Order: sequence, then structure tokens, then C-alpha cells
Amino acid sequence: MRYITILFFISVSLFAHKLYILADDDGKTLHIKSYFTKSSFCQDCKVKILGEKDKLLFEGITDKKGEASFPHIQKNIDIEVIASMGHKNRVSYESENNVSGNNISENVDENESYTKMILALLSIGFIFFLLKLVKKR
Amino acid sequence: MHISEGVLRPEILIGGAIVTIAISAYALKKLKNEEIPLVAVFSALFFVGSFIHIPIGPASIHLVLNGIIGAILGVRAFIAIGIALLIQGLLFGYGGVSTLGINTFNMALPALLAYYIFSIQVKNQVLEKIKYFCVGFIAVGLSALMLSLTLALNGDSLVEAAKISFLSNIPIMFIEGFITMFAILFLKKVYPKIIEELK
Repeated sequence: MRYITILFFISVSLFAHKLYILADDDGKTLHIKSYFTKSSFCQDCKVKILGEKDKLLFEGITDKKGEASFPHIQKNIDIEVIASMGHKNRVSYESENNVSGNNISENVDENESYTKMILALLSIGFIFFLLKLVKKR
Repeated sequence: MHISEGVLRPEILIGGAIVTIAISAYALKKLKNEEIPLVAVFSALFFVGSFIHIPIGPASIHLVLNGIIGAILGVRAFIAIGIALLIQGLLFGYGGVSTLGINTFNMALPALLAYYIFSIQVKNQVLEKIKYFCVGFIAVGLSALMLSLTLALNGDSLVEAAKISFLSNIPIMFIEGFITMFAILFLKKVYPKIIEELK
């Protein structure tokens, strides 16, 4: 009985320090809430938003309610919350919305391909210009 | 229409390159200084046409435009198409440098046939429109056939890919047929000199 009581207190203590992470997004903004218990929020905790290969996308601090918001740029991310006394937790999050950030990267790709296209057309022009110079001689 | 690098056997690549170089050299010799801007414009047209994708079912195909290019440029189409393919291979990874010869051959030789179809004299206006349609239709059709044959020649492993490749290009034959017909009719109306100039 003594052991059961000790185990109970240890487990309660463990749960009391377990860091929970809730996340939601609307396709544009990622909202994070972090707490230990319903009444104990993870205040001023460090939040890291990690992309593929643990690439750090954003970093921030939670407010008094344990909340933080970030621009949402990738569909699949990892969220890491680090509290004081070495408490931390990490969860994987997959957005169910069309992530606006993907559009940003698509736009970047599109701009890159437009630049390449212009460069390619200039290259064609340049080759024929050289050809014209050669033919002129 | 572009065969990527590392797919074909060396003998096919070398064979394609030799024939392309030989015909391109002849075309370069024949090319007059004043014709170069027009060849450059058609080279750019071929280049841009490859980026116009048309969704057909789950796949998407792109314009080739070798019919109209061949009809106007004749053998000079080898230069226009070759240079456009070179830039596509270098900057966009379409095809590649090692497959440049065979890709140019597959797309420019039908362009040459388009030139001869275009040269056929017809008096009837309807037949003339059919002729212009055939210029685009046959050029792309032959390119698709040559592409499939090239893949099939490589070995049994690519026979299925060759069949799929040919079948997927059937819609573009009709699309290009109509595009070529309207484009040539438009050119004849606004700039008839262009057609006579290069003959």
C-alpha cells in the first residue's frame, strides 16, 4: 500500500510537470497554447517551430496565457516548447488547411522560373547575335 | 518530347548527334545573315511553346510547334530547335546535353517534312487549310513516333514507355494541327512576305 501511495504521488507529480502543447491554424497563422495543468499556463516559455531536418523556421516566447502565434509557412512542422527547469516537449503538427506559406514558396519558385525564362531567352538572343557576327565576317 | 539524360544507349546518342551535327552544319552554311533574326524568333517560339502545358487527364503535355517552325524555316529549323533545346537542357533540365543530338533530330527532322508538306501547291482554299493543319499534325505525329521508336530501340524495358509516350501525344497532334493552321493563315494575312522570303 505504501508503494502504491508513493507511486501515486510520483505519477501525480509527473503529470503536474508534464508540458502540454496544443496547436491550431487557419492556413495563415499558427496558434500555439502550452500549459502544465488547466490553471497553470506555460508562461514565457521558449517556442521553436521546426521544419524539415529540424530547420528552425520561427522562434518566440509564450505570453501569460501560454500562447504564441507564428506565420504558418509549412504544412508539416514540429513544435518544441521549452519551459524553465528543463521541462520541454515536442510535437509534430500537420495542418489540415491549405498553408499560405506554401503559396509563398510557390511564388518564389515561380519568380525564379520567370527569371530563368528571361535569362534563357536572352541566351538564345545572344547565341544568334554571335552567329550573326560570325556570318558577317 | 524530351528524352532525359541517362536513358538511352550510347550508340543511339552518338548516332543522333552525328546526324544532327551534319544537318545543322549544312543549315548553318545555308543560313544567310539577314535570316538570323527570324530564326532566333522561331527558336524563342519553340522554347516558350515547350512551357505551355495542356492538362490531358492526369498527365499534361506541352506544345512543340515544330510544324510551323519547319514550314517557315525549312532546314534552318535544325538551328532554331537545336539552340532552344540546348538552353532548355542547360537551364531547365529538359532533356540534356548528351541527348541534345537525338532530341533535336526527333523534333527537327519532322519539321523538315512539314516544310515539304507546306511547299505542296493546292488551289482549293479548303485543301489549303487542310494542308496547314497537316503541317502541324504530321510534324508532331512524326516527332512522337520517332520519340517512341527511339525509346523502343533502347531495349525491351522501354517498349511500354514508348507506347504510352506515343498515345499521350495524340491529343497534341490535333491541337498543334489547329494552332498551326490558324497561325499560318494569320501570317499569310498580316505578313505574307515571311512565307515567300525564306523559300
